[in-house]
Amino acid sequence: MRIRSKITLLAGALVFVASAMIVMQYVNERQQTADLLESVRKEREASFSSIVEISGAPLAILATDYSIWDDMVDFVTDPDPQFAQDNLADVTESYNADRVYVYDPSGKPVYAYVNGEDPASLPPLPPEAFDLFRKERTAHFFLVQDGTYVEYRMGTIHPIADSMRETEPRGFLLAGKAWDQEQVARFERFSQSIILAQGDPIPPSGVVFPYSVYSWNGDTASEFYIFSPVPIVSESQAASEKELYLVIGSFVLFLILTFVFLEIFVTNPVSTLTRSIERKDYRRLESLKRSRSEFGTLANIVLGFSEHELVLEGKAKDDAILSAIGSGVMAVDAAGNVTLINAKAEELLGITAASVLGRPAAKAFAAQTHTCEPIKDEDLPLLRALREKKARTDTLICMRADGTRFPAVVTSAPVVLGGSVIGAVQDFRDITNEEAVERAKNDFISLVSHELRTPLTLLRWSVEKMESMTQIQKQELDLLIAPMVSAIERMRSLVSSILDVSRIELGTFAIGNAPVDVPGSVKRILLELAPHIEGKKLSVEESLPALTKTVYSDERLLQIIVSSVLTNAIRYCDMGGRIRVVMSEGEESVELAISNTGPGIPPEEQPKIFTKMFRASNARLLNPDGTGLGLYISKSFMERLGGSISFTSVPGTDTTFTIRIPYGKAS
Amino acid sequence: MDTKKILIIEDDPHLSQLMRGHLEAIGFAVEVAMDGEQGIEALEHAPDLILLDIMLPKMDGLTILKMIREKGDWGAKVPIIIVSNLNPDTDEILKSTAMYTPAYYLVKAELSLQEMTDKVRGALSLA
Repeated sequence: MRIRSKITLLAGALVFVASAMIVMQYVNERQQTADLLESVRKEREASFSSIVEISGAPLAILATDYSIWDDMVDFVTDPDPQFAQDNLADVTESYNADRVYVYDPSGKPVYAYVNGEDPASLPPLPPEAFDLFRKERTAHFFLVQDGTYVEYRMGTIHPIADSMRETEPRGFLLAGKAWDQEQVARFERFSQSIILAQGDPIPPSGVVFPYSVYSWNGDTASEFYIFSPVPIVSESQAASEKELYLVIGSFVLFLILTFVFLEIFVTNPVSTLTRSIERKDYRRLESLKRSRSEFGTLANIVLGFSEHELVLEGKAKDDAILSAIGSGVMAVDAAGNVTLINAKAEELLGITAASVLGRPAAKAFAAQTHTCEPIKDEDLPLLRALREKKARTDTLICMRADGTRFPAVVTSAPVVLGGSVIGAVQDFRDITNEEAVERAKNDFISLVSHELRTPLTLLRWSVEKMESMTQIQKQELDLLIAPMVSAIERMRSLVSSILDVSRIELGTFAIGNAPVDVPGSVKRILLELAPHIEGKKLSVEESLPALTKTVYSDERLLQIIVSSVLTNAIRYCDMGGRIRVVMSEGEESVELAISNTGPGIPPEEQPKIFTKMFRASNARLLNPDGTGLGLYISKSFMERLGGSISFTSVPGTDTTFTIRIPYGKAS
Repeated sequence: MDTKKILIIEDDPHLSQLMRGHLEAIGFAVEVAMDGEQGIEALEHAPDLILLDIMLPKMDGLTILKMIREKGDWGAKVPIIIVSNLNPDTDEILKSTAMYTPAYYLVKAELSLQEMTDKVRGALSLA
């Protein structure tokens, strides 16, 4: 049975028991009160009866007083007014009577006195009454006269000698007292009661008992109700009732409070906890966990054991793995909505997981084919994997959220669980670098193969020519050998450049360190290039003073560099232009500035001038067969030597390349 | 028979020398131009055939080709053999020369002097 039912049942039982006890207590008290009242009533009743008797005693004495009997016997036969006056009328008050009647033995009225009225009316008494009187000798009865109850005492008259009333009565004497207001008030005063007639309302807080008065023949003349107040008991009754309500009320209030308290602090948390566990409402459990009571502890324990916790733990581990993966990973459910996306995918696509989880895959991943044609949503790798139920790898162009694109290799596959496809997963990586490397490799291969063609052609044609000659003159031989030498030199130079580039990239070439005569080297190179200078009719200005400080470096490399830069200056100088070579000594290095007049380097291409295989557009035009490696090699060599090469080229003025050669130290 | 005049427009002096030597030895009159400008000047001598390299300094081969073809009636008809080191199947520049109807595409690296002679004779006989 559930706690709430138990508590309700308990509360109900307590209420029942308590109420029963209280009610019993109340009933008990009531009973006691009733018993008390009953005894009081009996006592009051007895008391009232005795008061009535005592009150009526003088009447009885008047009616049966034998001290005047002898005179009374005479009176019956010969009523003497004076006697009546003295012994009957005048004495009524002292006997608490207000009327006296005398009858002869046959029942014939002889004398009547009623409250001073003389003569007065007689009470209606039938002969049977007198028969009864004769037999009984005394009587106590009530008659209604003029609407008032009158109490009568009757005594038979005898001679004094027959005080025992043994002989035949000589007459009847009736003494009466009306129960008028005065008499009733007297009774009420003495008995501390109220005399109520039938039908009168009964006042509260007292006892009531009936009092009957009887006629001469035993019939009930009237029944009164005597009310006797019992203040203390009734007060205590009222108090008891008030107390009862108060006690019951407080008890019920107490129970309600207890019930509410239990409901809030016990039943509700227990029931919430139970329900949450049953329904696996983990969010609820998490919030319950924070409560500092035993319920919080329970919730915590349950969570700890719950699949939820295990799932969370498992998920956390999976998330950690996913975050560590270097490719973007995305998964969808069978409906094609995104269920998983790792940090790398977010980064690559420029989106957040929160914005795409639960939404269709196309919202997160848009792509084009390798040839820049858009891919329809349903043909995206994830959705194709779902549909075709097999893995595939595609090279695509992926679109980022900001509209930029990147090439990617995307591998997608369906996710199968228990024989059915529950979703699909794809991983993709940005191959921009790989493509760039591939491109560079291809460019390099093209460059090399292209560069080799001309020398090869020269050699082949020269050899073809030689083969067709049966004899050859020295002159003709020299003519044929010249192109071959040129070809060989070109190939050698190409191979050497390639080797240098590879040495630079691998960082494997050795740098010599010896004193270098920089001005001397430069002058020598100028001499070597003299034919080219003359061929373009260029003028040369040189300023190559002797150095005050010794330069320690690798002479061979320096020569290659200077030669390369100078060759460029000559090559790109306009016909009849001017070359200037100026050397100056700086604090830490020697600066060699080589300038040439001419069209210069287009500004938009200047930033790329030192990159491998880059040729400025006008350079291509002026010298289509250049490799684009020269400046790259020169700059790299120079940097290895601890120096640098920079340039300025403003169209319309000189182009100046500045080579900075550090002094270095003797090793 | 008239000696046929051949104009070679080629920037590599060694190559042009070998070509000239070979063609003169079999009886052609050969003139050599080292770049586009010289080539255009040499058109005044109305050669019977032009051997044209595409990769030339200062003016690219395509422009020269266009200018030759625009040199009036003679220019539209003169046979031109393109001799280069580019791949005629893939190179975009070579492909776009097609509209100027060169007679042949020859790849230097794969060419023998004999083959070149054959092609020259063939182009001349077709003209």
